[in-house]
Amino acid sequence: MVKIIEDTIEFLKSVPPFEFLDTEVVNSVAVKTSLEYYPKGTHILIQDGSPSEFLYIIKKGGIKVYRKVNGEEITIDFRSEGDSFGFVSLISGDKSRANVVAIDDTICYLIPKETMLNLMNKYPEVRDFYLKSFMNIYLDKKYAEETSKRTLIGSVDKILFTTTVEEIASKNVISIPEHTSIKESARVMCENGISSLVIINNEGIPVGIITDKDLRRKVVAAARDVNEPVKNIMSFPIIKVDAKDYCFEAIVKMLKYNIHHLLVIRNGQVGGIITNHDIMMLQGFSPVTIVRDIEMQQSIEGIIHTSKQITNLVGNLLQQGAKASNITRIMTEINDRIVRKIIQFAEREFGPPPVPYCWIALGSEGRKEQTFKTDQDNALIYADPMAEQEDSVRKYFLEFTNYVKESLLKCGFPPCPGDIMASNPKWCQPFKAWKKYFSQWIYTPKGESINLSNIFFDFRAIYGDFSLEESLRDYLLSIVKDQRIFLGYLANLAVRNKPPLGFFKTFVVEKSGEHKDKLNLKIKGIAPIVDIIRLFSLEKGIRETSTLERIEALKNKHGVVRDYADEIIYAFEFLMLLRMKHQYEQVIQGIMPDNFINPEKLSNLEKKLLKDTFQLISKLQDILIERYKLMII
Amino acid sequence: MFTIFKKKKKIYEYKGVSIGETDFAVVDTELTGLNEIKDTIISIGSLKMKGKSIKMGEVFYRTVKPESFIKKDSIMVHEITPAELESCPDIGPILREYLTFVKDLIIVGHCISIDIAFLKKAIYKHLKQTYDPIAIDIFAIYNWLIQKDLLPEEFIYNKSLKDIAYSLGIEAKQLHDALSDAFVTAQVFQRLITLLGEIKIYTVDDLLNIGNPNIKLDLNLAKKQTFQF
Repeated sequence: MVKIIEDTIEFLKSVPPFEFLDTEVVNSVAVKTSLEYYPKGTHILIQDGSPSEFLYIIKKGGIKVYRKVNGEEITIDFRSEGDSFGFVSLISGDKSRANVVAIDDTICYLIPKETMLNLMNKYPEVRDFYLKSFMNIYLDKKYAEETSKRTLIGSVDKILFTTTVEEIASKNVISIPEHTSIKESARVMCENGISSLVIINNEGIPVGIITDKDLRRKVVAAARDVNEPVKNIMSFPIIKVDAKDYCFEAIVKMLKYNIHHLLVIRNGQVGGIITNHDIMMLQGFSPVTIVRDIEMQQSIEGIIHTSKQITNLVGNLLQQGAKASNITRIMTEINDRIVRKIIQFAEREFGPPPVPYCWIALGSEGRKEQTFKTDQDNALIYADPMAEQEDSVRKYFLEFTNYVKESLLKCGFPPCPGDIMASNPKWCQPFKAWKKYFSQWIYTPKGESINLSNIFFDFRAIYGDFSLEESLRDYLLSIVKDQRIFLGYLANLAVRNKPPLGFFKTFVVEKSGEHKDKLNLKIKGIAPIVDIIRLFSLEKGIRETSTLERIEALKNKHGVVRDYADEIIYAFEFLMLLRMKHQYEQVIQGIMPDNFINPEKLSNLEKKLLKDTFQLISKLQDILIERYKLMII
Repeated sequence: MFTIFKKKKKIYEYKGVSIGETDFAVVDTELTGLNEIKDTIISIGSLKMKGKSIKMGEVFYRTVKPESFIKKDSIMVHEITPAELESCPDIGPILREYLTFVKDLIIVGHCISIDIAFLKKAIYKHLKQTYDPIAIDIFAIYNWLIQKDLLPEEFIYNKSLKDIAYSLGIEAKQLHDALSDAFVTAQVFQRLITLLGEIKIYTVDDLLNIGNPNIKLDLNLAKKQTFQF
């Protein structure tokens, strides 16, 4: 009946942190609010003026927060519908730190100080929301939400991201010295009813592990003498995982080293063993199993079958509240293995390579940032052949790369529209040709070559002789460092796409065509971050190719990254997660995944975060423009 | 005589008092029609303001059993059916509740003299009390601002609450229940006080003069020429 209060409640229920509260609680807040109107130009709060008595939430219009320092005006932020201000001064009781001016006719809901203090005392989510950074709380909150959803619907309540290794690891670990005989070791295993033993050296340090599998394969099947020391059949190196790590970490390690046992370390001591079997028992499926499936396949058809499970895997991880970077880590491991397996088939098909070579992934694949099957972006470096060999070597690798391309296509990886693939003769070249490409791009930058360098400079070895890739990177980093002009061109590209900051009608979106009213998350958000971080990495000679790893490596080397690392990481994770969820929904509906999201469909909190993210990107771009000012066109 | 004397005294009390420190009750009634003799009140909506701040939680809204036949067109406007109204409470106790809510606050409304006339009649009939509140008509302020060139000349054609609200950029989608109308009226009042502030009119006594519902517009105009702001 009382419509105007209902409207107030409805509005509050759409803005954080009130959206996390029960309707009843929101109702109790609504009846305490008042509605104020400020014509454009009104100063609502004055710097060094009396403390704020209210939390102001913008219902309509927009405000600017700015400070005056030595007569100079510094804009701190713009806020619009659904945003709030006045909080810090309200809580601290200190004089307002900044000026707040209405930049349009603005209507605000005012929540009295006392009401806010009560809310914060009673509801930790309200306190946390205001006291922690928005990004931080969002990721945690989302995570908790996803987790609780999962717990409600699924019967599986223990999951990869909440279960620590020690919770499921077998604690019954027995270690034996490395010179113990195989026969004695097998007896110890039988007596204790365990399937593995940790092997320690003379200093008591674990150096390897033996499992039932080793006994089967290396002893029985190989008719080995059981009196040999166990050291001869152990698997090594031994990979460790901390007892406090989440099971997810264990999975990534198993994937990475293609092993099924990890040694669990608790307080620096051997604390147990965790196996792929434990993970299976935990949740009924394991990415490690998919990888084992891939490894077991002897034909393309088999791989096609296995790779179909990947969508389910991503869905599963999303449901469990995995962070985007965790999902891409797993995806990368799996995709890499598919590529490797196919290359092995190619070697089987065409015979051993005439010279060593290295298959490299480019673009997002190179950065380990792939989600759903994306275009093939790859190339091949082979060792410089002798002059008389050149033609035959070229011929071998072209047939070879074409086979890989076709096979990848069958497994659901569409060809690159720009033909940046090893099957293109241009991108299947000897080492010396690659050096020439790179030096040309850097010394005489122009048009297309700058775009190419952005794709190629994220190259990463997938298979073959990794030293070729490493040498090429050494070469690249040695010549690129001080090439201010070339770096200036890259800076230009990195600031070319300004993120939408328009805050009145929320976001600048596509004006026409198929994606009308949608926002291209890749071009407006992800790419600028990737480009900026790549540029910083080239400046500082960083070898890592993934954006997050680059940020970690740059933290201690680059002033800008040192200042903004955490924010950039959150922003990047957030954008990737948004995109991944969007693409997952598309894949489920049988649509080709794309990067166009509809901002209208985002929750207010997501909108708010997207805006924060765009502001951060814009700030970084401004810094870039300042640093490269002479070279920005 | 007594009430007029009392009222004069009250208005005098507001001399020099800041608008921002003063509480107001914005009032709107819905009627069966505009005939003061035949028609009666269907519902009363009111909400409070302090200065130009609208108190979202301090609201009053009651629908009453009408004492007269409802004309067809007013049914359409109010979207209340006679059957619905039959189940509503009698007006007597509701009027008492209303008086408790508005106390002796200044009453603000759109063409408020109509609302006051109906309230006055009903209160006298049911409670045997004289109701003669100090009132402000937003329509009078609106027109005064047009005459002063503080609002565009063509606004003079806006008469309805909806048109006035719209001209000031206020969304008025939920018009025609008494509380929603009172809410829109409050927002109009909010804007008008802001505009008055721009020409340094900050006191309640000035506001009462400009928004006086009892003086006809032309009279009001003649009066304002003697003001020296």
